[in-house]
Order: sequence, then structure tokens, then C-alpha cells
Amino acid sequence: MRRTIKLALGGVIAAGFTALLLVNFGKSVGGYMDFARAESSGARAHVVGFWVPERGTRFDLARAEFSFWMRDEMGNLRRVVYAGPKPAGFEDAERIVVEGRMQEGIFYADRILIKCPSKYNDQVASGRSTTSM
Amino acid sequence: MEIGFWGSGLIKLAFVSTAVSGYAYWQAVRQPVWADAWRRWGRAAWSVSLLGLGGASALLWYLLLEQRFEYAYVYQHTARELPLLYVIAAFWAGQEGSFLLWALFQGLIGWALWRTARDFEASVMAVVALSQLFLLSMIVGARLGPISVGSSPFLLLAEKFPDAPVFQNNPGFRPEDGNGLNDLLQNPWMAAHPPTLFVGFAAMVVPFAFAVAGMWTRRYTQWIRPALPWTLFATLVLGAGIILGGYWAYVTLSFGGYWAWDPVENSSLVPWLLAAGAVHVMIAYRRSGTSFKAALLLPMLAFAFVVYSTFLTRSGILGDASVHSFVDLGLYNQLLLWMLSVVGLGLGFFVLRFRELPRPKQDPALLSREFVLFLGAMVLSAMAMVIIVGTSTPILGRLFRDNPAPPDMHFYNSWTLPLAIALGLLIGLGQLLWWYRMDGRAFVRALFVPFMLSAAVTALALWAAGVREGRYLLLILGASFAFFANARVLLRLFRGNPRLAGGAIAHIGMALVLFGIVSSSGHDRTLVPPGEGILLGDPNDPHVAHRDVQPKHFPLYLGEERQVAGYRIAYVGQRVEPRRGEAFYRIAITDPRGRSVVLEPSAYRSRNGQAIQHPDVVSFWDRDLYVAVVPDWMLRSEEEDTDSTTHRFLLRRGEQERLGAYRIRFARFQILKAPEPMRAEGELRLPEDLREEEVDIAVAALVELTHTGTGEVRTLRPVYLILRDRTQRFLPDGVPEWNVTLWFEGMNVDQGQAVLRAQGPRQVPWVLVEVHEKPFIGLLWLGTVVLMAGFALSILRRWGELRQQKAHPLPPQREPVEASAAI
Repeated sequence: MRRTIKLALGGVIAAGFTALLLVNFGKSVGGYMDFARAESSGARAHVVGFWVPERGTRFDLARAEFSFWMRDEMGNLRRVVYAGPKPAGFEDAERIVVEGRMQEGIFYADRILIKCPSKYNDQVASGRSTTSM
Repeated sequence: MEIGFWGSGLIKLAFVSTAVSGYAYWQAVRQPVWADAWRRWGRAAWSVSLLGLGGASALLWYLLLEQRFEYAYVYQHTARELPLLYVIAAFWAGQEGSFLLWALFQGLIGWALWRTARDFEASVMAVVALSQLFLLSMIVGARLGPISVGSSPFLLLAEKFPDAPVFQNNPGFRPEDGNGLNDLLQNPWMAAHPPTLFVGFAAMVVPFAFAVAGMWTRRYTQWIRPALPWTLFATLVLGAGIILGGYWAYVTLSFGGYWAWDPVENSSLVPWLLAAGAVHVMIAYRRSGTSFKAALLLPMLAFAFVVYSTFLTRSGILGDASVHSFVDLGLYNQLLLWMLSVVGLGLGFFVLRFRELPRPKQDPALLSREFVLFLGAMVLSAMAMVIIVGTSTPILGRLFRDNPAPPDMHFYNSWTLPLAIALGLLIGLGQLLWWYRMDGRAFVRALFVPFMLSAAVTALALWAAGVREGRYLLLILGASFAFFANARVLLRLFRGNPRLAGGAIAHIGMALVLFGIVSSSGHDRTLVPPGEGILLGDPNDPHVAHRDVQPKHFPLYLGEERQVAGYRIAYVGQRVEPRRGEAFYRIAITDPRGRSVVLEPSAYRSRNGQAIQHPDVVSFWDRDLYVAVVPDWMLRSEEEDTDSTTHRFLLRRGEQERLGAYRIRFARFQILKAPEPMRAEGELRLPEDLREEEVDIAVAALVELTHTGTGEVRTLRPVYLILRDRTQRFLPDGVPEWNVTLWFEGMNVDQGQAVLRAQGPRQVPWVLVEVHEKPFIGLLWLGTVVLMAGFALSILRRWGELRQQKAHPLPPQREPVEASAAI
């Protein structure tokens, strides 16, 4: 009898932990979307796309801000502003993933992920400013 | 015949003989009468397979060393000028080679296993052979009709890329030079990290195989004793591999840390956590016959997650989520099949035999060492689960939304932190319970000193070090309790039987690791001068307002020194290493106590045009200083926008701002001409095209320009004019040798503000620097070394026990009594 109670208690704790974890996970999961969706939702977004080299890149030393034009997979073209220097390997990127928020037509990224054509160990572009260990 | 032919042939030979070996061992289990004969077949076939793998590996190394660039693998991962060490390491730079290495290690481990597994040989080796068969199928490169199975490392370029135009025109084409190894991988730590990891992965199959074999042959409890040293070994090596990777990231990559919760990192940590949990429940079972089902499940799960993480990182499913996942080589289905068969085998037997599994006669008491061990294993498993859930976003995230993207690091940090606190407390409690008698008074006495000491450390962290966050304080409490409790146990063991000290030493290592993590990550301080990065920023500036994060970098001009939080940081020079053209930027730092160091972070463009940055780290006993730079040339674009050297300032009297390598300070207004009753304070000098009577009002701004490097000061007097026709004119002033020109373009009299525009200054080299102070990160590295030493000691001990048992076979009663009674 006591054994059943213990088992039940353990089961409840495990189930509770799992449920809580999954609910929190569901809230923490971001979403890949295009610029248009990111704009209309205003939520934090991951956008996959390509740098538009014809428009160059720009680094504002006073603001320590890197900006460039990016075309997402749906063809939307937006300016991306990143609070940091140009990520290593930026020009060679096959694809770029920017994480951040769309505000007034400009995408403010706090993280840029560079997907390089190299096979193994693509470039680590940038950690998030405060959270990497 | 071509070498590639032999290489592929040897892999095929290994594949076939592994299948033969597995079949023979399977038959050895099924037909006890012929077991010896079948076992001999199994061993012979395994030897052939191992020879095949050794031969194939030797050939691949030969091709790499001979620079045979007509082979795709050689072309893709090496180049002529690559140093020898990295030519050797290029073996595992790609997907095919790393599978080959893994298979080679698994072959060697199988070879060692049959020598030691004794009466478990046949059943264990049959399972290992199955795993090896799956592994080899990834590189066998066979074609079954329309389906190709695996991708061989011995493909010629022309075979791998038959459609490339160069082969259409010239089938005999052979490239002169290779693509080279990614410069980031050219690091001694990185050369050592993957092989260590693969030894760990390969060893993880052993506990799994023992657990399956135990259920298969209905020797439910006997498998644990021989499996224990192997589980310890796998955990030790996998842990070493993980930490090598972390250290590599810390000193080589410029993301400012050693761990970023990247899916690839996570997927090696999960099996480690589960295997560490497995060790604990296996020991609990050996000791007293409790936690049997956990002891069965955890080693199986550990290996299942080795395969699962291989699936995640190599099937291409992670895609955009990871910075370093492999490209899909079309192995998706094979990997999936491997995973399903591992899970199916483990779970299948578990369900099939569930009713026969031994049950403990009674459950351990709540505060018994067995229960604490079990709890510890559960906390480790819970950590593993958190990481699995987060890492499986591409699969699990679909439950919540379309196109799920991975959660940010906050998710991992906030879930693992409380678990780590629990872990620290359990480590201390468990070890004390293990080594001290469990009657109340003695235990409380044993508890008292470690607890008081750890409370003291926590108080010190609160008052002296200024740690204010409750969760960090709790983790410090947990880690130091784990430390002192184990130190106490260790002292006692040294007086008694030091051979048993492995556990205590390993747990001290773990305590140091926890402490190193909370101090270096929880209190990582990014040194940025106050207000830097928003120089022009009034907070209404949308760029500033919308930004979620503050910049970690700040500009530093050659010769300039800046003060941040008691540190003085200066950019003093640079040197260039000739081979790769790697530029080292010399950053001199003086810390608040006056200790001075020069760090040399580097940046350069690699041969294939990739921009590479390496940080530099200096270690003091109590902290690391970590510096990374991004030099100016990496940030300038080709068509540098013209107004980037034009700056506008809105300054009050006495306020100053930064202008390139200079500081610009607005001292005051000076009236040169104005209507009565104001009177002129200085002489008005006008250009030739203006006559004095055309001017209504003339005001100068007195501006001090300071060279931040030399400290030289110039005073400038740009003039603002309002003419009789109500138009404005600006008379600039400048310092020609500094290439700075200043215009005074307007004022806000109420606020006493001047609007200034500056042109220039001349380009002085600058770098963006990122400086981190990481307190006590050294404890993390020290802790891992201690942890590994503890594991090594435990392996020796368990291994010794096993040999002893073989030399003098003990009666079966030595197996936990409760358990054998229940069978």
C-alpha cells in the first residue's frame, strides 16, 4: 500500500515537472517567419534570408551598430539593424538567420546566425550579448 | 588498382564481417551447445572487421598526407600548406571520416570487450555488432538498386560531383590544391575534441549492450558488475570530450563563452548526464538491490540519446537551428532506422521481460543513501530532459506552432539552474549518508561542519562579493556544501582506505564545476564604458529605443586608453604573423589592483576569404580576462558611406562627446557681434566676401578638442552668423594636421546648447573591443580535471573488483540478496 502511494507521488511529481516544462517550452519556442509576418505580429521572430550585397553594409561607429539589407525567402526586402559589429563570415554566408523584432519597417536583430557553405562546423556568428556562458 | 577502390573495399569488408560476427554471436546465444564454436566465429569475423577498419583508416590518412586532391574528402578538408597536425586531424573534419573514426573506436572497444566480458561475451557482442553495422552503413557507400546506402570517404571528386562542368570538359581533372581546413578548426584543442567525443560515443554502446544482454539472457542483475567500469569509462571520456569542446570554443571562437546551448553541444551533454545518472543507480543497485529499473533504463537511454543526437545533428533536421550541424548526406532514413532499432531493442526487452524483472523487497527509507542516489540520478535525468526538449524544437516545437525556432538560452538557464542547486545539495547529502552511519546523531554531527562552512561561503558571496540574486546564492550554497561534505569524506578516506576515494574526488570536481559556472557565467561582466554605443543617442532615437540589448563592444583608437570600472584598457599596437597573415591587436589592460597585461586577440582573413577572429584570454587566480576585437577593416564596406566621418553634436556648456580618437568639449558661447545692450567679447574675423555691416549677429562656440592618445588640447572657435537678410552662415574652424573641421550650426539659447557639426578626423586605426571579466572560471577547468581524476580512480577500483571476482569466483549469494531472492 505504502509502495503504491510512493509510486503515485513520484508519478505525480514527474508528470507535473514534464507538464510545466512543456508549457514553458511552448512559450519559449520562437517562430520562423518572413518580414511581413514579423511586422504584422510585432512578436519576436526568426527570419531566414539572404544579404543583398548590392546595397552594401554599413557600420555606425558611434552607435556600434551594423546594418544591411536582407531579402527573406518570400522576397521581402528590409533593412536589418544589429547591435554589434559585423559577424565573422558575413560575406560568405549562404543564408542568414536574424533573430529580433520588426519595428517601423526596420528589423532590430540581437542575434545573427551565419550559415556558411562549409560542411562541418559552420561559423559561430555571434552569441547573444548577455546569455552565453 | 586505385587506393580509393581498396579503401571502399575495406569498409565493405568490415561491413560484411561485422554482419557475420553479429550473426555468429547471436547464434552463440541461441544455441548453447554450439556456443563455443559460434563464439570463435564471432571473434574471427570481428577481427577481420577491425582489420578492415584499421586498413581503411590507414588508407584515408595516407591519402590525406599524400595530398591526393583528386579525392573529394582530401580536397574538401586539406590544403597544401596545412600544418601536419591538422592534416592528421582532417581525418575527422567531415561527416564520413568522423563516422569511420567512430566505427574504428567501436571496433577496438568490441575487441577489448570480448576479452573482458566473459560469459556475457556472446550476447553483448551481438548487440555491439548490430550498432556497428548501423554505423558502417553510413559510410559503406553501397548501391542497392535505386537506393544508395551511406557515403564513402573514398569518393573521387569526379564521382562525388559528376555534374561539375570541369569534369564534363576534362574527365581527368585533378585540382592543384585543396579547399583547406576551416581556420577555426585549426587549433590543438579542436584536433583533440572530436576523437575524444567519439571514443565516448563508442564506449556508450557497452552499458547499453550489457543492459540488453542482461534482459535477453535473463541474467537480470549479473550484468551490472561488469558494465559498471565501462559506464564509468564512457562517462569519463565523453565528459572530457565535451569540456575540450567548451574550452576550444572559449579560447578560439569569439562568442564570449564556453557554452551557448547549441544543439550540437547539447546533444553530447544529454548522454553524459544520463550516463552519470546511470552510474549512480547502478551503484545503488549493487549496494542494496534498489533502483533496479532505473539501473536498467538509464544506460539504455544514454546510448539511445547518443544515437538520437547523431540523428539530430547529421540528418539535416536541425537546419537553421544550429550553427554547426552537418549538411544532410542523405542519411536521414538510415539514422532514423538506427534510432528506432536502439529504442525498440531496449524498450522491447524491457516490456517483454517486465514481469520477470526483480523487485526490491522493500523500498529504501526517505533519507537513506540509496534514495538520495536515486534522487540524484533523477535530477540528472530531469536536466537531460530539459535539454532534450529544448534541442528537439524542430520536432517538439510543432506541437505549439508552425515553423518553430529554438528557444533562447534563457529557457535552458532558468530550468537547469534549480536542478543544479538540488544536485549540489544531493551530492553533499548523498556522500555523507554513504560514508557515515545513518543513525541520527552521528549524521547530524557529520552534517554540521560542512553546512556551516558552506553557509559561511554563501555569506561571503553575499557580503564581500556582492552576489545579490537569490538563485545564484542558492547555487553557491549547494556547490560549496557539496564541496565541503566531500572534502570531509575525503579526509576520512585518506586516513582509512584511499582506494575508495574516487567518488569523493569526482564529487569535489563536480562541486568546483558548479561553482565555476555560477561565478563565471552568473557574474560575467562585460566592460563597456558608460553610455558607450549610444553616443549620439538621445533615448528617443528609434535605434536606441528599439534595441533589446546593449552593445558589448566599444571602439578603441590606436594609442587611446579608456577607463572602465577601474580597469584601464588601451590599444597599443599590432603585429602580423606571416604564415596566415593573422593580425594580433595588442590590448593593454591594467586591472583595479594595478596588475598589467597585454592581450593579443587576433583577426584576419583566411585563405578562402573567411573573416576569422580569435579572442585572447589571460588567467589570474581569481578571474579571467577575455578580450576579442573586430578591427576597423572588417567593418568598413567598400563604398564607405561619405557622411560616416560627419558627426553632429548637441552639447550643453561643459558637456563633452567623443569624436574618433578625440574628445570634443563645448566650453561656452562667445558673442562677437550683437545688438545692444549685449557687447562683443571677442574679435570677429570675416571671410573676404562678407562685410561687417552685413552681419547682424555673430556668436562663436569655444570648443576644446583633446587627442585622447596624447592628451594634446586645441581650442577651436567656429562662428555662427545671422546676416541682415535673415540667412545663416557658418564659419568653420579646424585643426588641419588632425584633419578635423568644426561648424557651429545653431543654438538653443534657453538650454544653452550648441549644435556642432564635425568633419573628419583623419582615419586613425581603431578596433571594436569586447572585454569580459569572468570570475573564478578557472575553477570550472580545475573542477573538470578533478572530476576526471575521480572517475579514473573509480574505474580502477571497480575494475579491480571485477578481476578479483574472476580470479576467485564468488558464490552467487554475493549478488544483492533481496534481488536474487525475488527472481
